[in-house]
Amino acid sequence: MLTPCPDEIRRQLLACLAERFGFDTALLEPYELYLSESARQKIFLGPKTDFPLARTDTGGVLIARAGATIKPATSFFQLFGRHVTRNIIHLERGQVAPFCSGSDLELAENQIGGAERGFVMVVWEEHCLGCGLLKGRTLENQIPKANRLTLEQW
Amino acid sequence: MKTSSPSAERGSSSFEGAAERGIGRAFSWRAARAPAEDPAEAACPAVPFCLYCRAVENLAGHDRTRRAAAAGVAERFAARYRGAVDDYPAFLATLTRPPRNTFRVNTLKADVGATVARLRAIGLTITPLPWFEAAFAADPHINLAATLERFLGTIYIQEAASMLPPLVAAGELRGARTVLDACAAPGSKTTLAAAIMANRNVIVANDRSYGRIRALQFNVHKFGAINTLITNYELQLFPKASFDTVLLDAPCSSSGTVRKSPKVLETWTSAVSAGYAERQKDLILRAFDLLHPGGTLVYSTCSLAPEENEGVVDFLLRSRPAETVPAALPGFRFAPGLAEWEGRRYLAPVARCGRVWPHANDTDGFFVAKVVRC
Repeated sequence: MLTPCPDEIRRQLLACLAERFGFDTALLEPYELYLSESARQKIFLGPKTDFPLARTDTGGVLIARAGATIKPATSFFQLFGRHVTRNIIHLERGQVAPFCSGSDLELAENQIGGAERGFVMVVWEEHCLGCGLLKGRTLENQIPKANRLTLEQW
Repeated sequence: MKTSSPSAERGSSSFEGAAERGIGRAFSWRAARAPAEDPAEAACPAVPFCLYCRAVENLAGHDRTRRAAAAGVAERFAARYRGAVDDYPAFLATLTRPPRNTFRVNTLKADVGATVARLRAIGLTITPLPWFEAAFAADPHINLAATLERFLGTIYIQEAASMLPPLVAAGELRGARTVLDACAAPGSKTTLAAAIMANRNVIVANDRSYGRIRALQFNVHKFGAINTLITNYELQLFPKASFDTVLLDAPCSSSGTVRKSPKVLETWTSAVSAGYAERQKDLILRAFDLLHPGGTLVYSTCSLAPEENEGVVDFLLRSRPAETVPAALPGFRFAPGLAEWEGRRYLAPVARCGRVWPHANDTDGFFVAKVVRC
């Protein structure tokens, strides 16, 4: 069942998206933030509605996970990534297939640029691939297992 | 020693002449990919097409009686529609070919032109489908499921006919405040409806199966259908509510999908369709009752059986204040709903339904009806 997102988590999420990722949170205003009762730390972006939430199983798109810190979801970056302006890691072509299949990557110094330690958006050319966790020069893969894919033709 | 069977060689040599040779050679295309390994199987005179040898072999080993029975099913299946289909040889010829490798660009995440340009840039042959600007066919040997676009959720691999229910109701969906997709999993129609609605307003995507809800949820996330709420009800028990538009892609015998899944014929009988029809009648009444007055119900199946299609719509028209409106999509060839079947005459408005013969648009067999609540 979906439940309305508590104000404190909403505030943390919007602050993270705005400050860490330079994301214009006004883009989310047509929608509503929810938590899932069965997975309370998952934050969903869904429709504004008067449909009784008690009847829902889930809904909308997973955009982040709340906890000690906010972890943006790959589905958020793939949907809104073009509006992200900070903490972006650009991959080389040869790194794309390993990343999409779930591998961690060792980055070159010039790939890190101004990105800060922590969660980052990973892109190749204009394609927002998903979320990574930057630790030094290591990019830990945060693509959900169900989304990982061995690319054959790209 | 592995030996290619004579029937496999026949299958690999020619698809085009299959119609002339009759349904006995139908469904042989897969034999070219997977030749039979047992010479005795190939010699079985009761099974003139390889796929059925293999399909039944999986169920019953080398039981020639079962294989012969299966061959009879295929013949009865095709012959059933001889008097109803407009071009029987073309119908048979299409059934012998695998379905096209079709997909649509997910406009919630990507631009159609840019996506197709990139796919072409990596060497794929992409052919637009004339009836939906975001729908395309790719080379049959391309594994679209292993492309970057599939990873990104910018394309949705979907059989062409399966796109029809949201497309024939595109106008209603754009104007709807609330939409119910009554049997939504795994979400191909839900996510297309969300794209048509540009993520505005609300879709309630319901499915009775909790296991299938997980697949629905995955696709809603992956394809960015923000305006979707997911519910898990048996439709008969769906709480009191009313919607502007209801999509009901009903559980069915799937007999229209034989190009992709010839094994559906292993279990097909007219009695199977009759059994589904009883459940479909319950579902269509409930789906209709969940409409606002003036709202639109889109009923669809991937079955060719009139019992599951025209018969169900006819039942609704006799049971509720309902009126059909023509199922139409520019560039797509629908046949009208059948006027009668096996001695039973349907109400005249049933003819406004859209029957999709596989050969008409090179798709699966399909059926779609638009019904307005008066």
